[in-house]
Amino acid sequence: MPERPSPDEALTAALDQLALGDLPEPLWHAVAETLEWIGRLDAEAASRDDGAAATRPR
Amino acid sequence: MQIQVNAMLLRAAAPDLALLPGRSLMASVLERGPQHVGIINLAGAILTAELPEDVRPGDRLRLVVKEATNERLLLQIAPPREAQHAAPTLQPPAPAEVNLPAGRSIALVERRTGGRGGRGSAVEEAVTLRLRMPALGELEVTVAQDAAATRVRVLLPPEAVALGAQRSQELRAALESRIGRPADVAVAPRRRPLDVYA
Repeated sequence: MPERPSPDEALTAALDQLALGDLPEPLWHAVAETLEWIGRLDAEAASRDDGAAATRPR
Repeated sequence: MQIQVNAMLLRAAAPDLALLPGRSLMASVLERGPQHVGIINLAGAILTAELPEDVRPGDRLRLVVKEATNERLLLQIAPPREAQHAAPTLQPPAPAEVNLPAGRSIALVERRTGGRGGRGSAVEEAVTLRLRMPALGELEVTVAQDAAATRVRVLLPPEAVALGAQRSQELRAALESRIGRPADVAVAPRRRPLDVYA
């Protein structure tokens, strides 16, 4: 199974739980890279939501 | 052995799922009622289904689309891939969906091997996952790869498409750096599922 430290280990660990640990190594890395990007995208979307809420008139 | 589900309900719950004959989908059996009716998690969608007698709750099934009409979907229960090549093991079956901390979840929609690659390249292998993220909501991602390239298609809620498109080059560059072959990243809006109970 490919080994790679990941900043979003929970998402990539889920690949093993979904029985995707036997993917060809390049595809496994591509999926893991994509999941990490989605994690960053979600964090950015959350910070934009927080920013919008902070500037919203009360 | 075959399983029959309501195709309209499945398309409403998973509008981006390609229901083409020959495609394989993963499902887990959640409940088994009297008679032949049960509840299954099919590629992340919770559905009632007519089940064969020997299918039990907790079973994980690999289903191949045999017939798809507007009203019904007929699925053939196929042996697990590992059973085709190896002796059975005592490993527990993999879940169809994994719940993660912070309200996230990830489900395997489809794993495909042997399709035609892009631009005449050799065999393509692809994985489609559905995720639920706290800020982005529900999204679907397909990662496909052949000998020539990596292709990623991300279906985001419409309000997140602009952000995803802005950041898509980051993913493309990371994939090309990591995998060492050209990558293409497409971001598109995900159709909202119909509320069938409205």
